[in-house]
Amino acid sequence: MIKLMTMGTVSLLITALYANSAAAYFHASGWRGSVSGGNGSWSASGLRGTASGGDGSWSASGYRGGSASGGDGSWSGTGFRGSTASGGDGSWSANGYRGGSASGGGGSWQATTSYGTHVYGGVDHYYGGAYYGGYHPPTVVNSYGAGCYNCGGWYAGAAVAGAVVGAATGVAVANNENANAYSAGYAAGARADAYAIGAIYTTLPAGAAIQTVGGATYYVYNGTWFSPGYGANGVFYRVVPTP
Amino acid sequence: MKQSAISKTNALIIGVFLLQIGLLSLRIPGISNAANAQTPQPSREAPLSDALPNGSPQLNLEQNAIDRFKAMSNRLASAQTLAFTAISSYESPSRLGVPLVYTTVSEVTLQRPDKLRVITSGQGAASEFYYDGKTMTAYAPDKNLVAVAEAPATIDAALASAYSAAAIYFPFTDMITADPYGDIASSLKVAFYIGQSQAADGTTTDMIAIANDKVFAQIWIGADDLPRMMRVVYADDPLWLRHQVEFTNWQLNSAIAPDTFSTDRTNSATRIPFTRPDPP
Repeated sequence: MIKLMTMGTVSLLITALYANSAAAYFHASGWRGSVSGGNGSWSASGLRGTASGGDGSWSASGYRGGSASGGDGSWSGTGFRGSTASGGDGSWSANGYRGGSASGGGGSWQATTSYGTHVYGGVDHYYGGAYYGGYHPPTVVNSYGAGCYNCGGWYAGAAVAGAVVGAATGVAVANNENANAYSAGYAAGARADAYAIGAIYTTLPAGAAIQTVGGATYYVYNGTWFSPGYGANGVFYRVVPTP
Repeated sequence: MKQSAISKTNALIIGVFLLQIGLLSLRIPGISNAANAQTPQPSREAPLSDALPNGSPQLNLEQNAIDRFKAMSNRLASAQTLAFTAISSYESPSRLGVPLVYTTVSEVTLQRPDKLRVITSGQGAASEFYYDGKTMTAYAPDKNLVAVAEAPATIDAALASAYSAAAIYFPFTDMITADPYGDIASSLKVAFYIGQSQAADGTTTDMIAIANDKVFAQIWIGADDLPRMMRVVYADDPLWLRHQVEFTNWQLNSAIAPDTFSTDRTNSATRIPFTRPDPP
Protein backbone atom coordinates (compact mmCIF):
# COMPACT_ATOMS: atom_id res chain seq x y z
CA MET A 1 0.00 0.00 0.00
CA ILE A 2 2.85 2.31 0.79
CA LYS A 3 4.40 1.60 -2.55
CA LEU A 4 1.10 2.20 -4.25
CA MET A 5 0.65 5.44 -2.48
CA THR A 6 4.17 6.49 -3.27
CA MET A 7 3.66 5.68 -6.91
CA GLY A 8 0.48 7.66 -6.94
CA THR A 9 2.07 10.54 -5.12
CA VAL A 10 5.08 10.68 -7.37
CA SER A 11 2.95 10.51 -10.46
CA LEU A 12 0.56 13.04 -9.07
CA LEU A 13 3.28 15.48 -8.28
CA ILE A 14 4.58 15.23 -11.78
CA THR A 15 1.19 16.25 -13.00
CA ALA A 16 0.14 18.76 -10.42
CA LEU A 17 3.44 20.55 -10.32
CA TYR A 18 3.82 20.69 -14.07
CA ALA A 19 7.26 19.22 -13.80
CA ASN A 20 9.17 18.64 -16.99
CA SER A 21 9.00 14.87 -17.00
CA ALA A 22 11.47 14.55 -19.80
CA ALA A 23 14.12 16.29 -17.79
CA ALA A 24 13.66 14.59 -14.49
CA TYR A 25 12.42 11.05 -14.80
CA PHE A 26 13.55 9.73 -11.45
CA HIS A 27 13.94 12.92 -9.52
CA ALA A 28 10.40 14.10 -9.90
CA SER A 29 9.58 13.69 -6.22
CA GLY A 30 13.02 14.31 -4.85
CA TRP A 31 13.76 17.90 -5.71
CA ARG A 32 12.88 20.73 -3.40
CA GLY A 33 9.78 19.20 -1.88
CA SER A 34 8.56 17.27 1.10
CA VAL A 35 6.32 14.30 1.70
CA SER A 36 4.70 13.19 4.93
CA GLY A 37 2.01 10.83 6.02
CA GLY A 38 0.59 8.66 8.71
CA ASN A 39 -2.63 7.43 10.24
CA GLY A 40 -4.23 7.05 6.86
CA SER A 41 -3.42 10.42 5.46
CA TRP A 42 -0.55 11.98 3.60
CA SER A 43 0.47 15.28 2.20
CA ALA A 44 3.17 16.61 0.00
CA SER A 45 4.35 19.97 -1.03
CA GLY A 46 6.68 21.00 -3.74
CA LEU A 47 8.10 24.19 -4.95
CA ARG A 48 5.16 24.70 -7.22
CA GLY A 49 2.26 22.87 -5.73
CA THR A 50 0.72 20.76 -3.05
CA ALA A 51 -1.00 17.41 -2.79
CA SER A 52 -2.73 15.60 -0.01
CA GLY A 53 -4.95 12.65 0.59
CA GLY A 54 -6.37 10.20 3.00
CA ASP A 55 -9.27 7.92 3.70
CA GLY A 56 -9.70 7.05 0.05
CA SER A 57 -9.48 10.47 -1.51
CA TRP A 58 -6.80 12.83 -2.67
CA SER A 59 -6.40 16.24 -4.16
CA ALA A 60 -3.66 18.35 -5.59
CA SER A 61 -3.15 21.81 -6.91
CA GLY A 62 -0.45 23.40 -8.95
CA TYR A 63 0.86 26.92 -8.67
CA ARG A 64 -0.61 27.98 -11.97
CA GLY A 65 -4.10 27.02 -11.02
CA GLY A 66 -4.31 23.43 -12.18
CA SER A 67 -5.98 21.01 -9.84
CA ALA A 68 -6.76 17.35 -9.57
CA SER A 69 -8.70 15.24 -7.16
CA GLY A 70 -10.03 11.77 -6.82
CA GLY A 71 -11.44 9.17 -4.58
CA ASP A 72 -13.73 6.20 -4.45
CA GLY A 73 -12.57 4.97 -7.82
CA SER A 74 -12.81 8.14 -9.84
CA TRP A 75 -10.63 11.13 -10.46
CA SER A 76 -10.71 14.39 -12.32
CA GLY A 77 -8.43 17.25 -13.08
CA THR A 78 -8.42 20.67 -14.63
CA GLY A 79 -5.45 22.39 -16.12
CA PHE A 80 -4.87 26.09 -15.71
CA ARG A 81 -5.70 26.64 -19.36
CA GLY A 82 -8.95 24.79 -19.18
CA SER A 83 -7.97 21.29 -20.14
CA THR A 84 -9.90 18.65 -18.30
CA ALA A 85 -9.48 14.98 -17.62
CA SER A 86 -11.43 12.48 -15.64
CA GLY A 87 -11.81 8.80 -15.19
CA GLY A 88 -12.89 5.99 -13.04
CA ASP A 89 -13.96 2.39 -13.02
CA GLY A 90 -11.53 1.43 -15.73
CA SER A 91 -12.09 4.21 -18.20
CA TRP A 92 -10.87 7.75 -18.67
CA SER A 93 -11.31 10.71 -20.93
CA ALA A 94 -9.66 14.05 -21.43
CA ASN A 95 -10.16 17.22 -23.39
CA GLY A 96 -7.49 19.71 -24.21
CA TYR A 97 -8.00 23.41 -24.25
CA ARG A 98 -7.06 23.53 -27.90
CA GLY A 99 -9.60 20.97 -28.95
CA GLY A 100 -7.84 17.63 -28.66
CA SER A 101 -9.52 14.77 -26.90
CA ALA A 102 -8.65 11.32 -25.73
CA SER A 103 -10.38 8.45 -24.06
CA GLY A 104 -9.72 4.91 -23.14
CA GLY A 105 -10.59 1.94 -21.07
CA GLY A 106 -10.61 -1.77 -21.19
CA GLY A 107 -7.03 -1.88 -22.34
CA SER A 108 -7.31 0.39 -25.32
CA TRP A 109 -7.26 4.10 -26.01
CA GLN A 110 -7.97 6.53 -28.77
CA ALA A 111 -7.31 10.15 -29.28
CA THR A 112 -8.01 12.95 -31.68
CA THR A 113 -5.76 15.94 -31.91
CA SER A 114 -6.88 19.49 -32.47
CA TYR A 115 -5.73 19.00 -36.04
CA GLY A 116 -8.02 16.03 -36.54
CA THR A 117 -5.35 13.34 -36.43
CA HIS A 118 -6.76 10.15 -35.00
CA VAL A 119 -4.55 7.71 -33.19
CA TYR A 120 -5.32 4.66 -31.15
CA GLY A 121 -3.74 1.76 -29.38
CA GLY A 122 -4.32 -0.99 -26.94
CA VAL A 123 -3.31 -4.33 -25.70
CA ASP A 124 -5.37 -6.61 -27.87
CA HIS A 125 -2.55 -7.38 -30.20
CA TYR A 126 -3.03 -10.88 -31.33
CA TYR A 127 -1.09 -12.27 -34.22
CA GLY A 128 -2.80 -12.10 -37.55
CA GLY A 129 -2.26 -12.10 -41.25
CA ALA A 130 -0.83 -14.60 -43.61
CA TYR A 131 2.50 -16.29 -43.85
CA TYR A 132 4.77 -13.67 -45.35
CA GLY A 133 3.45 -10.21 -45.67
CA GLY A 134 1.22 -10.37 -42.64
CA TYR A 135 1.29 -8.91 -39.22
CA HIS A 136 3.06 -11.38 -37.00
CA PRO A 137 3.54 -10.00 -33.54
CA PRO A 138 3.99 -11.09 -30.95
CA THR A 139 6.11 -14.05 -31.74
CA VAL A 140 5.82 -15.73 -28.39
CA VAL A 141 3.11 -16.21 -25.86
CA ASN A 142 3.32 -13.28 -23.53
CA SER A 143 3.98 -15.10 -20.30
CA TYR A 144 6.16 -12.29 -19.05
CA GLY A 145 3.31 -10.20 -17.81
CA ALA A 146 1.75 -12.74 -15.45
CA GLY A 147 2.90 -10.63 -12.53
CA CYS A 148 2.62 -7.31 -14.28
CA TYR A 149 -0.84 -5.92 -14.77
CA ASN A 150 0.27 -2.88 -16.69
CA CYS A 151 2.40 -4.89 -19.09
CA GLY A 152 -0.63 -5.71 -21.19
CA GLY A 153 -0.08 -8.30 -23.85
CA TRP A 154 -2.16 -11.33 -24.55
CA TYR A 155 -2.85 -12.08 -20.97
CA ALA A 156 -4.30 -8.66 -20.42
CA GLY A 157 -6.14 -8.91 -23.68
CA ALA A 158 -8.04 -11.86 -22.33
CA ALA A 159 -8.41 -10.35 -18.94
CA VAL A 160 -9.96 -7.10 -19.98
CA ALA A 161 -12.86 -8.95 -21.51
CA GLY A 162 -14.38 -9.15 -18.10
CA ALA A 163 -13.72 -9.28 -14.43
CA VAL A 164 -11.54 -12.27 -14.91
CA VAL A 165 -8.21 -10.69 -14.33
CA GLY A 166 -8.36 -10.88 -10.61
CA ALA A 167 -8.95 -14.55 -10.57
CA ALA A 168 -6.20 -15.85 -12.75
CA THR A 169 -3.65 -13.20 -12.04
CA GLY A 170 -4.45 -13.43 -8.43
CA VAL A 171 -3.66 -17.00 -7.79
CA ALA A 172 -0.73 -17.05 -10.16
CA VAL A 173 0.86 -13.98 -8.71
CA ALA A 174 0.20 -14.93 -5.15
CA ASN A 175 2.57 -17.80 -5.69
CA ASN A 176 5.23 -15.77 -7.36
CA GLU A 177 7.74 -14.52 -4.87
CA ASN A 178 8.95 -11.96 -7.33
CA ALA A 179 5.57 -10.46 -7.95
CA ASN A 180 5.60 -6.77 -7.36
CA ALA A 181 3.40 -5.16 -4.78
CA TYR A 182 1.10 -3.77 -7.41
CA SER A 183 0.26 -7.15 -8.83
CA ALA A 184 0.23 -8.82 -5.47
CA GLY A 185 -2.21 -6.26 -4.24
CA TYR A 186 -4.35 -6.74 -7.27
CA ALA A 187 -4.29 -10.42 -6.55
CA ALA A 188 -5.46 -10.15 -3.03
CA GLY A 189 -9.05 -9.57 -3.93
CA ALA A 190 -9.19 -12.27 -6.54
CA ARG A 191 -12.40 -14.05 -7.14
CA ALA A 192 -12.03 -17.70 -7.96
CA ASP A 193 -15.29 -17.96 -9.84
CA ALA A 194 -14.82 -15.44 -12.62
CA TYR A 195 -13.14 -17.26 -15.48
CA ALA A 196 -14.75 -16.57 -18.83
CA ILE A 197 -15.14 -19.39 -21.30
CA GLY A 198 -12.66 -18.90 -24.13
CA ALA A 199 -10.31 -16.67 -22.20
CA ILE A 200 -6.61 -17.38 -22.54
CA TYR A 201 -4.11 -17.50 -19.72
CA THR A 202 -0.41 -18.10 -19.76
CA THR A 203 -0.27 -19.40 -16.22
CA LEU A 204 -2.49 -21.70 -14.28
CA PRO A 205 -3.84 -20.97 -10.85
CA ALA A 206 -1.80 -22.71 -8.22
CA GLY A 207 -3.36 -25.98 -7.25
CA ALA A 208 -4.85 -26.68 -10.66
CA ALA A 209 -5.02 -30.43 -11.06
CA ILE A 210 -4.31 -32.26 -14.26
CA GLN A 211 -7.12 -34.36 -15.65
CA THR A 212 -7.38 -36.57 -18.70
CA VAL A 213 -10.72 -36.84 -20.43
CA GLY A 214 -11.13 -38.76 -23.64
CA GLY A 215 -7.39 -38.80 -24.14
CA ALA A 216 -7.13 -35.03 -23.88
CA THR A 217 -5.28 -33.21 -21.12
CA TYR A 218 -7.01 -30.59 -19.00
CA TYR A 219 -6.32 -28.71 -15.83
CA VAL A 220 -9.09 -28.12 -13.31
CA TYR A 221 -9.19 -25.45 -10.68
CA ASN A 222 -12.19 -24.85 -8.49
CA GLY A 223 -14.56 -26.17 -11.12
CA THR A 224 -12.99 -24.28 -14.01
CA TRP A 225 -11.48 -26.34 -16.81
CA PHE A 226 -8.42 -25.22 -18.74
CA SER A 227 -7.32 -26.76 -22.01
CA PRO A 228 -3.57 -26.42 -22.59
CA GLY A 229 -2.22 -25.83 -26.05
CA TYR A 230 1.01 -24.93 -27.79
CA GLY A 231 0.79 -21.91 -30.05
CA ALA A 232 2.65 -18.74 -30.88
CA ASN A 233 5.85 -20.32 -29.61
CA GLY A 234 4.59 -21.08 -26.14
CA VAL A 235 2.09 -22.83 -23.93
CA PHE A 236 -1.21 -21.21 -23.10
CA TYR A 237 -4.37 -22.33 -21.34
CA ARG A 238 -7.87 -21.67 -22.60
CA VAL A 239 -10.91 -21.81 -20.35
CA VAL A 240 -13.30 -24.39 -21.75
CA PRO A 241 -16.66 -25.83 -20.75
CA THR A 242 -16.53 -28.93 -18.63
CA PRO A 243 -15.67 -31.74 -21.06
CA MET B 1 -7.32 -5.25 0.72
CA LYS B 2 -10.63 -5.52 -1.02
CA GLN B 3 -10.79 -6.11 -4.74
CA SER B 4 -12.73 -2.94 -5.33
CA ALA B 5 -10.21 -0.87 -3.44
CA ILE B 6 -7.33 -2.43 -5.30
CA SER B 7 -8.96 -1.85 -8.66
CA LYS B 8 -9.61 1.72 -7.75
CA THR B 9 -6.03 2.17 -6.67
CA ASN B 10 -4.82 0.69 -9.92
CA ALA B 11 -7.17 2.94 -11.83
CA LEU B 12 -5.92 5.85 -9.80
CA ILE B 13 -2.29 5.22 -10.63
CA ILE B 14 -3.01 4.74 -14.30
CA GLY B 15 -5.40 7.62 -14.24
CA VAL B 16 -2.92 9.96 -12.65
CA PHE B 17 -0.31 8.98 -15.19
CA LEU B 18 -2.77 9.61 -17.95
CA LEU B 19 -3.77 12.79 -16.23
CA GLN B 20 -0.28 14.03 -16.82
CA ILE B 21 -0.97 13.67 -20.48
CA GLY B 22 -4.27 15.40 -20.12
CA LEU B 23 -3.07 18.31 -18.07
CA LEU B 24 0.02 18.94 -20.07
CA SER B 25 -2.05 20.58 -22.73
CA LEU B 26 -3.08 17.22 -24.13
CA ARG B 27 -0.18 16.76 -26.44
CA ILE B 28 -1.89 13.77 -27.93
CA PRO B 29 0.53 13.32 -30.82
CA GLY B 30 3.09 12.56 -28.17
CA ILE B 31 1.34 9.32 -27.48
CA SER B 32 1.74 8.27 -31.02
CA ASN B 33 5.25 9.58 -31.19
CA ALA B 34 6.25 7.64 -28.12
CA ALA B 35 5.04 4.46 -29.67
CA ASN B 36 6.58 5.18 -33.01
CA ALA B 37 9.72 7.10 -32.27
CA GLN B 38 12.09 7.09 -35.23
CA THR B 39 9.25 6.03 -37.49
CA PRO B 40 7.74 8.27 -40.13
CA GLN B 41 4.00 8.57 -40.12
CA PRO B 42 2.38 8.45 -43.54
CA SER B 43 -1.25 7.50 -43.88
CA ARG B 44 -1.89 4.13 -42.29
CA GLU B 45 -4.30 3.20 -45.06
CA ALA B 46 -1.75 3.59 -47.83
CA PRO B 47 0.84 0.99 -48.82
CA LEU B 48 4.27 1.67 -47.41
CA SER B 49 5.68 2.32 -50.84
CA ASP B 50 3.20 5.15 -51.38
CA ALA B 51 5.18 7.23 -48.94
CA LEU B 52 7.88 7.57 -51.56
CA PRO B 53 7.60 10.49 -53.92
CA ASN B 54 8.76 8.43 -56.85
CA GLY B 55 5.83 6.66 -58.42
CA SER B 56 7.81 4.28 -60.56
CA PRO B 57 8.25 0.86 -58.96
CA GLN B 58 11.29 0.14 -61.09
CA LEU B 59 13.09 3.24 -59.96
CA ASN B 60 12.30 2.40 -56.36
CA LEU B 61 14.28 -0.82 -56.62
CA GLU B 62 17.90 0.25 -56.41
CA GLN B 63 20.09 -2.35 -58.03
CA ASN B 64 22.87 -2.23 -55.45
CA ALA B 65 20.37 -2.96 -52.71
CA ILE B 66 18.87 -5.81 -54.69
CA ASP B 67 22.35 -7.16 -55.36
CA ARG B 68 23.23 -7.19 -51.68
CA PHE B 69 19.98 -8.89 -50.81
CA LYS B 70 20.48 -11.48 -53.54
CA ALA B 71 24.03 -12.16 -52.43
CA MET B 72 22.84 -12.73 -48.89
CA SER B 73 20.05 -14.97 -50.09
CA ASN B 74 22.40 -17.03 -52.22
CA ARG B 75 24.91 -17.42 -49.42
CA LEU B 76 22.28 -18.70 -47.05
CA ALA B 77 20.46 -20.87 -49.55
CA SER B 78 23.62 -22.58 -50.75
CA ALA B 79 24.67 -23.69 -47.30
CA GLN B 80 23.73 -27.26 -46.54
CA THR B 81 23.74 -26.58 -42.83
CA LEU B 82 23.30 -23.40 -40.86
CA ALA B 83 23.76 -22.64 -37.20
CA PHE B 84 23.42 -19.24 -35.59
CA THR B 85 22.16 -17.38 -32.59
CA ALA B 86 19.15 -15.15 -33.08
CA ILE B 87 18.45 -12.44 -30.54
CA SER B 88 14.93 -11.34 -31.27
CA SER B 89 13.12 -8.42 -29.74
CA TYR B 90 9.67 -7.10 -30.33
CA GLU B 91 7.55 -4.37 -28.92
CA SER B 92 4.21 -5.01 -27.35
CA PRO B 93 1.95 -2.27 -26.04
CA SER B 94 1.60 -1.87 -22.33
CA ARG B 95 -1.71 -0.87 -20.84
CA LEU B 96 -0.50 2.70 -20.99
CA GLY B 97 -0.30 2.45 -24.76
CA VAL B 98 3.44 2.90 -25.06
CA PRO B 99 5.27 -0.29 -25.94
CA LEU B 100 7.46 -2.52 -23.86
CA VAL B 101 10.17 -4.53 -25.56
CA TYR B 102 10.63 -8.24 -25.06
CA THR B 103 13.62 -10.28 -26.09
CA THR B 104 14.21 -13.92 -26.80
CA VAL B 105 17.41 -15.73 -27.60
CA SER B 106 17.24 -18.70 -29.95
CA GLU B 107 19.91 -21.17 -30.92
CA VAL B 108 19.05 -22.21 -34.45
CA THR B 109 20.36 -25.28 -36.23
CA LEU B 110 19.25 -26.21 -39.71
CA GLN B 111 20.07 -28.91 -42.21
CA ARG B 112 18.61 -28.60 -45.67
CA PRO B 113 16.14 -29.56 -46.84
CA ASP B 114 14.21 -31.04 -43.96
CA LYS B 115 15.67 -30.54 -40.51
CA LEU B 116 15.40 -27.67 -38.07
CA ARG B 117 15.92 -27.10 -34.38
CA VAL B 118 15.17 -23.91 -32.48
CA ILE B 119 16.03 -23.74 -28.79
CA THR B 120 14.67 -20.54 -27.28
CA SER B 121 15.40 -19.07 -23.90
CA GLY B 122 15.46 -15.41 -22.94
CA GLN B 123 12.52 -13.66 -21.39
CA GLY B 124 9.45 -15.73 -20.79
CA ALA B 125 9.17 -19.46 -20.82
CA ALA B 126 11.76 -21.51 -22.65
CA SER B 127 10.67 -23.50 -25.66
CA GLU B 128 12.19 -26.05 -27.98
CA PHE B 129 11.12 -26.74 -31.54
CA TYR B 130 12.26 -29.80 -33.44
CA TYR B 131 11.53 -30.73 -37.03
CA ASP B 132 13.06 -33.87 -38.49
CA GLY B 133 11.37 -34.10 -41.86
CA LYS B 134 8.47 -36.16 -40.58
CA THR B 135 7.23 -34.62 -37.39
CA MET B 136 7.43 -31.30 -35.67
CA THR B 137 7.72 -31.19 -31.91
CA ALA B 138 7.30 -28.23 -29.60
CA TYR B 139 8.43 -28.78 -26.05
CA ALA B 140 8.03 -26.57 -23.01
CA PRO B 141 10.72 -27.90 -20.68
CA ASP B 142 9.66 -25.96 -17.60
CA LYS B 143 6.14 -27.36 -17.82
CA ASN B 144 7.12 -30.71 -19.32
CA LEU B 145 4.42 -30.31 -21.95
CA VAL B 146 4.92 -31.34 -25.55
CA ALA B 147 3.01 -30.99 -28.80
CA VAL B 148 3.76 -33.35 -31.65
CA ALA B 149 2.31 -33.38 -35.16
CA GLU B 150 3.08 -34.78 -38.54
CA ALA B 151 4.93 -32.31 -40.70
CA PRO B 152 5.52 -31.70 -44.41
CA ALA B 153 8.71 -32.78 -46.11
CA THR B 154 10.58 -29.49 -46.30
CA ILE B 155 11.60 -26.79 -43.88
CA ASP B 156 9.61 -24.17 -45.79
CA ALA B 157 6.46 -26.24 -45.74
CA ALA B 158 6.93 -27.16 -42.11
CA LEU B 159 7.29 -23.51 -41.13
CA ALA B 160 4.16 -22.62 -43.05
CA SER B 161 2.35 -25.52 -41.41
CA ALA B 162 3.49 -24.49 -37.95
CA TYR B 163 2.27 -20.98 -38.54
CA SER B 164 -1.05 -22.12 -39.92
CA ALA B 165 -1.71 -24.69 -37.21
CA ALA B 166 -0.36 -22.93 -34.17
CA ALA B 167 0.74 -19.39 -35.02
CA ILE B 168 4.34 -20.44 -34.57
CA TYR B 169 6.50 -17.91 -36.32
CA PHE B 170 10.21 -17.35 -35.96
CA PRO B 171 11.45 -13.82 -36.62
CA PHE B 172 14.37 -15.25 -38.56
CA THR B 173 12.13 -17.30 -40.83
CA ASP B 174 12.87 -15.03 -43.77
CA MET B 175 16.53 -16.02 -43.58
CA ILE B 176 16.25 -19.79 -43.37
CA THR B 177 13.87 -20.62 -46.19
CA ALA B 178 15.18 -22.30 -49.30
CA ASP B 179 15.14 -19.09 -51.33
CA PRO B 180 14.92 -15.95 -49.19
CA TYR B 181 15.09 -13.58 -52.14
CA GLY B 182 12.75 -15.57 -54.36
CA ASP B 183 10.12 -15.68 -51.65
CA ILE B 184 9.62 -11.95 -51.65
CA ALA B 185 11.05 -10.75 -54.96
CA SER B 186 7.73 -10.57 -56.73
CA SER B 187 6.18 -8.41 -54.05
CA LEU B 188 9.06 -6.02 -53.56
CA LYS B 189 8.12 -2.41 -54.12
CA VAL B 190 11.08 -0.67 -52.58
CA ALA B 191 14.74 -1.47 -52.14
CA PHE B 192 17.42 1.07 -51.42
CA TYR B 193 20.95 1.16 -50.11
CA ILE B 194 21.42 3.10 -46.89
CA GLY B 195 25.14 2.93 -46.21
CA GLN B 196 27.67 1.08 -44.13
CA SER B 197 27.59 0.41 -40.44
CA GLN B 198 30.03 -0.90 -37.88
CA ALA B 199 27.38 -1.40 -35.27
CA ALA B 200 26.11 -4.89 -35.93
CA ASP B 201 27.87 -8.02 -34.67
CA GLY B 202 31.23 -6.27 -34.54
CA THR B 203 31.73 -6.20 -38.25
CA THR B 204 31.24 -3.95 -41.22
CA THR B 205 27.82 -4.27 -42.75
CA ASP B 206 25.89 -2.82 -45.64
CA MET B 207 22.53 -1.49 -44.64
CA ILE B 208 19.68 -1.85 -47.06
CA ALA B 209 15.97 -1.30 -46.77
CA ILE B 210 13.35 -3.32 -48.58
CA ALA B 211 9.59 -3.13 -48.51
CA ASN B 212 6.47 -4.49 -50.04
CA ASP B 213 2.99 -3.30 -49.29
CA LYS B 214 2.96 -5.12 -45.97
CA VAL B 215 6.43 -5.07 -44.50
CA PHE B 216 9.24 -2.58 -44.27
CA ALA B 217 12.59 -4.11 -43.31
CA GLN B 218 16.04 -2.73 -42.71
CA ILE B 219 18.76 -5.34 -43.06
CA TRP B 220 22.41 -5.23 -42.06
CA ILE B 221 24.47 -7.53 -44.31
CA GLY B 222 28.10 -8.36 -43.59
CA ALA B 223 30.92 -8.43 -46.09
CA ASP B 224 30.60 -12.21 -45.97
CA ASP B 225 27.01 -11.81 -47.21
CA LEU B 226 25.52 -13.03 -43.95
CA PRO B 227 22.77 -11.06 -42.25
CA ARG B 228 23.72 -9.47 -38.94
CA MET B 229 20.53 -7.68 -38.08
CA MET B 230 17.04 -7.11 -39.40
CA ARG B 231 14.46 -4.64 -38.18
CA VAL B 232 10.89 -4.78 -39.36
CA VAL B 233 7.71 -2.71 -39.17
CA TYR B 234 4.40 -4.06 -40.42
CA ALA B 235 2.10 -1.80 -42.36
CA ASP B 236 -0.95 -3.51 -40.92
CA ASP B 237 0.14 -2.72 -37.40
CA PRO B 238 -1.61 0.47 -36.34
CA LEU B 239 1.14 1.18 -33.82
CA TRP B 240 4.03 0.39 -36.13
CA LEU B 241 5.78 -1.57 -33.43
CA ARG B 242 9.36 -2.54 -34.11
CA HIS B 243 10.56 -6.11 -34.47
CA GLN B 244 14.23 -6.83 -34.60
CA VAL B 245 16.45 -9.85 -34.82
CA GLU B 246 20.21 -9.87 -34.43
CA PHE B 247 22.23 -12.70 -35.94
CA THR B 248 25.49 -13.87 -34.48
CA ASN B 249 27.69 -16.97 -34.13
CA TRP B 250 27.16 -17.95 -37.74
CA GLN B 251 28.36 -21.41 -38.75
CA LEU B 252 27.83 -22.61 -42.29
CA ASN B 253 28.26 -26.14 -43.55
CA SER B 254 29.44 -27.48 -40.24
CA ALA B 255 28.89 -31.10 -39.38
CA ILE B 256 25.80 -31.61 -37.30
CA ALA B 257 25.13 -34.65 -35.15
CA PRO B 258 22.26 -36.79 -36.41
CA ASP B 259 20.40 -36.65 -33.12
CA THR B 260 20.28 -32.86 -33.12
CA PHE B 261 16.79 -32.65 -34.55
CA SER B 262 14.93 -34.72 -32.01
CA THR B 263 14.98 -35.21 -28.28
CA ASP B 264 14.09 -38.01 -25.92
CA ARG B 265 13.39 -35.51 -23.16
CA THR B 266 9.81 -35.41 -24.36
CA ASN B 267 9.20 -39.10 -23.70
CA SER B 268 7.82 -38.44 -20.26
CA ALA B 269 6.15 -35.15 -21.16
CA THR B 270 2.41 -34.62 -21.18
CA ARG B 271 0.97 -34.34 -24.66
CA ILE B 272 -0.93 -31.23 -25.63
CA PRO B 273 -2.18 -30.15 -29.06
CA PHE B 274 -0.84 -27.53 -31.41
CA THR B 275 -3.46 -24.83 -31.55
CA ARG B 276 -3.84 -21.16 -32.34
CA PRO B 277 -4.40 -18.76 -29.46
CA ASP B 278 -7.17 -16.98 -31.27
CA PRO B 279 -9.13 -14.39 -29.32
CA PRO B 280 -12.25 -15.66 -27.62
